[in-house]
Amino acid sequence: MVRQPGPPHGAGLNRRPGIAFSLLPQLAPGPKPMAHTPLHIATPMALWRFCRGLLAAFTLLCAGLSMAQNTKPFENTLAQRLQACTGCHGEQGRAGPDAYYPRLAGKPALYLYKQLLDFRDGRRHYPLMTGLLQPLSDAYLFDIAQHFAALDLPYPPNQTAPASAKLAANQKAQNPAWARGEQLALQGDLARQLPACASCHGDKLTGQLPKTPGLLGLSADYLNAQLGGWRTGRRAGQSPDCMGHVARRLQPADIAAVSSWLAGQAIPANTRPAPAAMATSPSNALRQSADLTCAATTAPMPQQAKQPTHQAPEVELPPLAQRGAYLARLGHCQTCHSQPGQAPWAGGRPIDTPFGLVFSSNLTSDKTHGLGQWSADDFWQALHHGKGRNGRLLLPVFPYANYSLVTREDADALFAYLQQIAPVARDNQAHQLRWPYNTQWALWIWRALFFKPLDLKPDATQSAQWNRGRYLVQGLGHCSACHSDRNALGATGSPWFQTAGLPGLTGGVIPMQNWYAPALSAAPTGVLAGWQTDELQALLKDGVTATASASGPMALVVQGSTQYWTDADLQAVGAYLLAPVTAPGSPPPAPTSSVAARAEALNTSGAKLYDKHCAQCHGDQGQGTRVLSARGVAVQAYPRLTANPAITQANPVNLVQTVLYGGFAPAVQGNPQPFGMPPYVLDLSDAQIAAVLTHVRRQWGNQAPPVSELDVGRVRNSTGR
Amino acid sequence: MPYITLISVEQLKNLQTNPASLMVFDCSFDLMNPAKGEADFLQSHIPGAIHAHLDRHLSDKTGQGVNGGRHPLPTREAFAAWLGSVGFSNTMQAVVYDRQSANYCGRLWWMLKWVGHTQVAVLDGGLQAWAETEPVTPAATPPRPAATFALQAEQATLATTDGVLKQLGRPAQTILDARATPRFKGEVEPLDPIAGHIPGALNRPFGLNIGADGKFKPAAVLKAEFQALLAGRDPATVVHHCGSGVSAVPNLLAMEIAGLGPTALYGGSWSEWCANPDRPMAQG
Repeated sequence: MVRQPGPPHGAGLNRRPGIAFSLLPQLAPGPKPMAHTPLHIATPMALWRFCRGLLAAFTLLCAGLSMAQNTKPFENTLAQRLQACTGCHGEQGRAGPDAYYPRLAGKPALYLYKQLLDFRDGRRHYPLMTGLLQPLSDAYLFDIAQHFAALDLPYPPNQTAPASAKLAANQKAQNPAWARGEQLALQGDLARQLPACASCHGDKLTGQLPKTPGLLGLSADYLNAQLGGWRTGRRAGQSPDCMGHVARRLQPADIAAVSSWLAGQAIPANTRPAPAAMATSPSNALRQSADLTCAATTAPMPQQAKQPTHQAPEVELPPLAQRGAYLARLGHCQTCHSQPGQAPWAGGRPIDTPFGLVFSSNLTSDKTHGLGQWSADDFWQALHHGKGRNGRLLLPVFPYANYSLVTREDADALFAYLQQIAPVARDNQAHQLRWPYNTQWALWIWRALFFKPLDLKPDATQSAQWNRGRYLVQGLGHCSACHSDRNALGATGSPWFQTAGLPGLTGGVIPMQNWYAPALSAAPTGVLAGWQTDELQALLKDGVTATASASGPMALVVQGSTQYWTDADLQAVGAYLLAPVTAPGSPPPAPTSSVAARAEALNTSGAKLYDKHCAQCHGDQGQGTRVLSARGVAVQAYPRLTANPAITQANPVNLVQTVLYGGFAPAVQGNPQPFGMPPYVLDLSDAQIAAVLTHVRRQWGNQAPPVSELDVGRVRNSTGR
Repeated sequence: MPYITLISVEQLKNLQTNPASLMVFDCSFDLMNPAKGEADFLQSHIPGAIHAHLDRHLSDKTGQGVNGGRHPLPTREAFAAWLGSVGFSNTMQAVVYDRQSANYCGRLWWMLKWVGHTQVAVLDGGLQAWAETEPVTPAATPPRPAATFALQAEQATLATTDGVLKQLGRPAQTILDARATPRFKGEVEPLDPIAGHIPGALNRPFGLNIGADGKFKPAAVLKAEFQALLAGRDPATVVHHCGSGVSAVPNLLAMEIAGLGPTALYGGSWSEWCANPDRPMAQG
């Protein structure tokens, strides 16, 4: 299944509010031939067309029904929403030659919740998980953790466990590594300051509430890899990192021994985690002496967990700062100026650019490390002129080409808001840019070519609403930072002396991210063709509509910024972006004959792969699935793949991203528990993904160029996920 | 005519007319659930096939294997004895398949070459390709009388950790790692205690050998891809490995299909290499 990637791009046809939907997969496009047939049948030819239309509709209806009987019916449940998880983890866990997905069912909820937070915020390293979880809120992650913790699925019997106590004793007597593994697991090793596994993970090693996982039913390889990860520091908990302490005291042979022993244990009848009492095993004293205060770690409790990550702006602020808080939302400032999981606004987030790594700066009111000594004039100089307090030229990663449009009044409000943010003494990290991009003279030349502060005058020929929309889109909203093509020097558009005015929202591949931000064009062939303001507003507010959803980088924009915009501002964006245009968009390139032949050759395998992997959610006719949202309107659970410009866009990179790595729509106030698509990175080869995408792009009236194996390989290898 | 790399469904069907000189091995396996491959086999297999178990028949996990790592090879003698016990003799054609894109049956293909048996081929497209046109069955295959499989001169080269280490950085050895790129780069490591790769290794994930139809890509395509990857290096210098010596075989077989073989297999692979943290390792 494929979600519509990127920002506002819905379909050009039949995209009107109030169109029919159901909780079951739709049977589109059956009725289409009828829709264009006049009701008054005047000629025999028209009668023939009408009957043919009816027949076609009926045939498709039957085909749809027969397929629907063969697939599991769609249910609007949390389990259905979490197919992105179970697609890989399965019910009991799953493994392939290059991966191991541990079982989730029955693990302590707080353990699962902490892992989800750690993956999302980058403390536990698995880019696939990080990418999937990024647009999800703390609250949704907590719901997910509770869902899997509550599943009561029996473990399959462990085939490799010794069949009797006698055989186990033999094993212990004959195999020193087995005996060592048992010692480490049940007694620990005082000489090496190693507590027993059982002292934290429960006497039966089935885990201990509230948040220590069980160790049985896992493979030796997975345990080996996790212990190794802790030993080398690849995996680390938040302080106190008790597993890190333990693993660093283990020898490589110890790790192998304890992993094998744990993997070789029979599964007890009761696999539920032990209650949350202090363990009474002999090595409890050792655990304390080793300063391993595992039980007292700082995972947030449920009531805290229910707080969304991006809280609504504070209401107690003075009016100017309160307005500034809203402006900070408009500018999506906090996301770049915070390192996930650390103090907000204190900077330090690495931003990868074609010229090297840049670290965002500390905007808190700290006098040494932040903006504590800045004046409103200093801040204006940064925003409007792209210069720091000391006159230093700022890197255009900070999108001052857009921010120079911000009025002085708004800049002052924003500054007032930043000044009341509690100081955080976090030093700004030095950028890691290559020469000459790390020099001031290079920046000077770049600015001479591409930057000129703009004082935006209202366009008197347009409405106030249109002017407000332009101010939001081109200014604080900095949409062109992604939705414009960048030249070799990273600038959007041509040098300022060639084009007076604003960068066009002509679409482009986002540097280093390999996502295509489409041209925001309402022209007949553009992605916004036929859109109404209320639909665009719904997409930016809730991340999902009846025909479109935000994914990839745009999901994060909706989550961190646009869901908080006022209705008036979102409507202004619509007035600006959806204003009638006369210039036609470029038609999709016609495939050449050899390309077409290749596409046909792939078609059979693509169709088979589609039926096997995609049809259950996206429908056998690519019709998608819709549900009623939290607001009571029809939204897509799984995007339809027909009449959807996100599918037929010339550049297939977003589709490749989505099939490889899956994804969720953003978890926002209006859609707190979005549906997800599972990643196929480990299930499908480049050739298979190319085939299934080519199939989708050439079915059901779609006529987009095929996707090549190379297109898939480029994304798979460049992102390194 | 013996089949020595791939065999098609049609070709296998023709061979079945003379069942006495043919043996078909089902190598289906699941790393997470070692019992599943056998269970799948019992549910449906090619008529007449027997099951070869990765952990029990194609590896020796008792400590008596010839190398370390996650799937140590049994000794040639032990493996030959197992072949004889299931009735496989030196004159027979072996056909191997699985349900996992040749990821596990490649192991048996390689091991048969290693004990000197040339006549072994992988069923192209695996059980899925067979089941498209031919019947599968849950019926148990009657056991064949035990035979003698006599060890022959090795037709496949097994590289050892010491050997790889000695040649490290020399042009006489080109290491080719078949694991997924994120594991190769050391960005993730779900199975081994240390993440990364052997310094100087090239990377070609094993899945790249299979086309969208689930079959090996055409020889000319494979040849072009390997030549681009090797960038002028002599194909004969290639030593394949992966995590445990199993998933590397599709690369090795693909080079033979492409006419670029034979090449060596480092059976211990990354799981043996990284078991000693003092060996050279690289990330990125």
